[in-house]
Amino acid sequence: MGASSSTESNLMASLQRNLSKIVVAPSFAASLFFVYGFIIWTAWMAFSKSRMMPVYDWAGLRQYERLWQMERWHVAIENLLIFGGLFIVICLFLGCLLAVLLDQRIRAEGVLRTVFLYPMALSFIVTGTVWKWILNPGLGLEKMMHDLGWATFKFDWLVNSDFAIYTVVIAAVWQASGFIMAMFLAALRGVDQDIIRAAYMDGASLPRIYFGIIIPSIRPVFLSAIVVLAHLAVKSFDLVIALTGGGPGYSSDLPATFMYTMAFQRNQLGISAASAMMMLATVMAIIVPYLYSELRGGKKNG
Amino acid sequence: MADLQTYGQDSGLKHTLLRGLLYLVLILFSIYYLFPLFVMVTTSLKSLTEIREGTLISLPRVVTFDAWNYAWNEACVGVECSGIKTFFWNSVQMAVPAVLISTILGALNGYALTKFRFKGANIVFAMLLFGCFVPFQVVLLPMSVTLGKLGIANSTTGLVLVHVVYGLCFTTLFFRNYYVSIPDELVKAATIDGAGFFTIFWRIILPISGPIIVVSIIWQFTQIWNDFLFGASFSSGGSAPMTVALNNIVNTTTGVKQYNVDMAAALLTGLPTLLVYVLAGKYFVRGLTAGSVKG
Amino acid sequence: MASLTLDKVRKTFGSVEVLKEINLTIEDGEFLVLVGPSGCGKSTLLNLIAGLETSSDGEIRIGDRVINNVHPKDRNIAMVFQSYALYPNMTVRKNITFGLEIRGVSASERDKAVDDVAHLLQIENLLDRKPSQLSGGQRQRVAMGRALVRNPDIFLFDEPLSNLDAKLRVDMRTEIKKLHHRLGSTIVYVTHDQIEAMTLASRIAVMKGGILQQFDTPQHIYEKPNNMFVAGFIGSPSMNFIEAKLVDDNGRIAVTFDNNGQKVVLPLVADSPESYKSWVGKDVVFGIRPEGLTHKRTGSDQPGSQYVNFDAKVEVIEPTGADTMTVINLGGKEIVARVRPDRATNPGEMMTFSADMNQISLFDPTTELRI
Repeated sequence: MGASSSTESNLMASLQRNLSKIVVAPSFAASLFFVYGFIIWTAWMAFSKSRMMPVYDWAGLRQYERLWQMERWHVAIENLLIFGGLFIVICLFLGCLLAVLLDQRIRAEGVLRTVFLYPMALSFIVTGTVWKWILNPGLGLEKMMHDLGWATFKFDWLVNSDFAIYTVVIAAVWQASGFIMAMFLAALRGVDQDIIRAAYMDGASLPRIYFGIIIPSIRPVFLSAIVVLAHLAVKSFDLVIALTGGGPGYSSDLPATFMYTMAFQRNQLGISAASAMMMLATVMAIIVPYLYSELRGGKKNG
Repeated sequence: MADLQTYGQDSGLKHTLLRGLLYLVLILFSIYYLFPLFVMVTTSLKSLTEIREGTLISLPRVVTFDAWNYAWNEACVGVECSGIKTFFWNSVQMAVPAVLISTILGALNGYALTKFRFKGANIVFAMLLFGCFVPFQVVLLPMSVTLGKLGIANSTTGLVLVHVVYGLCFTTLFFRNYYVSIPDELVKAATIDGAGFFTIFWRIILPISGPIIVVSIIWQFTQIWNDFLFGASFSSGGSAPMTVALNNIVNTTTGVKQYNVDMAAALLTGLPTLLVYVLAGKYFVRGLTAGSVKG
Repeated sequence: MASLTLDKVRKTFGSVEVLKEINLTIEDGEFLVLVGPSGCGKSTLLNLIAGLETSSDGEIRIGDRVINNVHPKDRNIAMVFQSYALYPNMTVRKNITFGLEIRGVSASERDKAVDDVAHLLQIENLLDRKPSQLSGGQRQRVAMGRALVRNPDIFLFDEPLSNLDAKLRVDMRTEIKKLHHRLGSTIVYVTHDQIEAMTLASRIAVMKGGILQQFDTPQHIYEKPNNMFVAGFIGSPSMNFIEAKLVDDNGRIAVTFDNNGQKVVLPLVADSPESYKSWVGKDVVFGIRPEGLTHKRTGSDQPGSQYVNFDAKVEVIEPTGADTMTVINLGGKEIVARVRPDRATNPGEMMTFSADMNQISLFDPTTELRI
């Protein structure tokens, strides 16, 4: 083969190399525009005087000041803390408990796993709809308890502005705890059998083996689970809309519903953008350190 | 697995008691998780009078599919009273193209980023990945402006675009992580055999990508079908997806509250993803764990 | 079939130089083994020859053709990979013919070619199976079949035996050697296993840190290693190194070192190289292979014998059946001697050893190069 064909194949080779870039380019461009571009855009809106329509006159931190002066935003933040905290703790506890229970050579484990996990396949809107029905004070759980003979049973959290946010916790835990169970179960199955055998040979009891050896060795999964749950909590939107609609009043608002309401119902685009930026900051504060440590630790496959 | 049969518990009675307790606890939990589904099904099969007279857990005396029929064909979403069926088809028309496009792009991205690495491939991947973690609230306002400018606001096309764009990071993540574990030697061997970028992808890589394709499709389908935020923000009236319609039916304040219809509509909305879960649960869980840091 | 020339080939990744000016030439039909510890650059070198990576500098020629910028598929080479890299979705037959198909070879010719190769490698009965249904050894054969069917100028083997168990590895080694004899093809073979290198190669290239340490026939590399690294890397158990000094012992040059307080003086053989003279009075590293250090040989008492005796205390013995490896301690270092089993003693006892002065190497302690 002569020189010309080697230049030709050189060209081919460089095309081959560039094919890879050409293939990724559209997605990368989309990401640059729709993710990074939009973040900047929203950030800019938050610094503008936008109300009903987006305008781009500089207003400095005016929108953030207005945001933090709003009673409603404080309620949303407070609710997020309550909801997030309870949601994370209960899911972790339930998930871990169920995983350990399922780890005992259970007959029909597959069926049980399916049962614990199926809520995760449902839309939060469906979950919200059914829990709204179950928890409604008129015909739901309360009436069921009355009919069962517990006449003084009272359960009106759904319409009680002090407790509405806790109903969101109930439904959210129902939906997500099975998933946490699956994460833990996978981790338990990944624990080195020889360590367990060794501990057993040393005479450790089963609870000792779990609390002393297995659970500490799956600590990274706890971290992952917390990050997943925290992330879910910050973004929670659909469930609140379907279950309480943010009500009564705005007593069960979360930042996500607050942002939506400001954007699409109250025509407060600037405040809405500012609240979205606050949410982004919160998520980043959780995710970035986590990803950093994950990517650093798992450099080999990442 | 810590194995109770071999490790532990003293034999005999104590063992049997503990096992019994274990199963009892597990059954109680099962009841907790199944209860809402049970309530949904039974309520949807009851008549309104029976709902008022009975309780949550009472079985329907007369099984009637009227509520299902009503929800599908007649329920009012806004001013339109032709049931949830048109919205079901909206969701199908939105989900199918969005799932396919995002999966294909994800597969190509994953392949290019792992098997034909270029300088900066890792940075490109990291930047794409970031999109998985962004709370979507931060893109809502610019997106609604952009969709308006593109002339696809309030349309299924617009929602397809949105779901493709924000699903890409997940599908790319899935395929990239799957392809990382496929030995590079396979690509080297095919290169020496004379195959190029697309030949290798089509003839060698794609045929062994079955499991991850299923994972990606299931994940994307579940996400897109279940989405409410984008649907509520970027569609209105007749173009809305099913979740938006369901929420609309349930939260209609006019007229008598028809709980059985609500439940039937909720079941209809949840059925496609539940079906997918039952049929391909293994892949569903895999997708969840692979793309677990999401919202 | 063709010769292969590497002319001042360099490869850098960023600022890291992984290959430093490699010069190699092998003739048509030679079996070149690239050997070295992991990270020595041997696999990178193979990838350069294959065209899977491009060199930063220098020229690679197959025959008279410069192939630096030729696409792998146009180099007329074939490669067998460590993981075999069989296409999992294709049958054995498809795996073998894929390359031919891409090159537009007609179906009938492909069938003929695959039959020939399958016959040669005795895998006729496996042709319709998928790789997942094959054992390690069978996969290995298929991988070789995929290379053979192309009838290339040069075969490249990238640690092809390292995924096999010990027994199979030896069998396949013999088989590869037979195949080479039968086909007379040019082969470049990468391994980290020095025994594979010794048994297969017509010439060995020992590499370390991206530098070609020595390029020679197996026997020559074994007997006259260029430096301490090569000396230690080739041969098992590896060569003993003793810190010693060259002295003038009544007109003869001798190696002397400390044996637990006693001075051992080993006179060199009469026809030692002239160059040793300049080292008299200086420190050297005295290298001797285990088989050069044995039980007391007959005739070793005669003056002028190549065998020189000394006594040492036996620390550990490791019988291997054919020989008993006897470990002694010289100057704080463990030294292995290869002793006939019937002459071996028990640990703790004193024993007389004969050093075969024809089998020694001397190294410069600072540069570690052969003197």
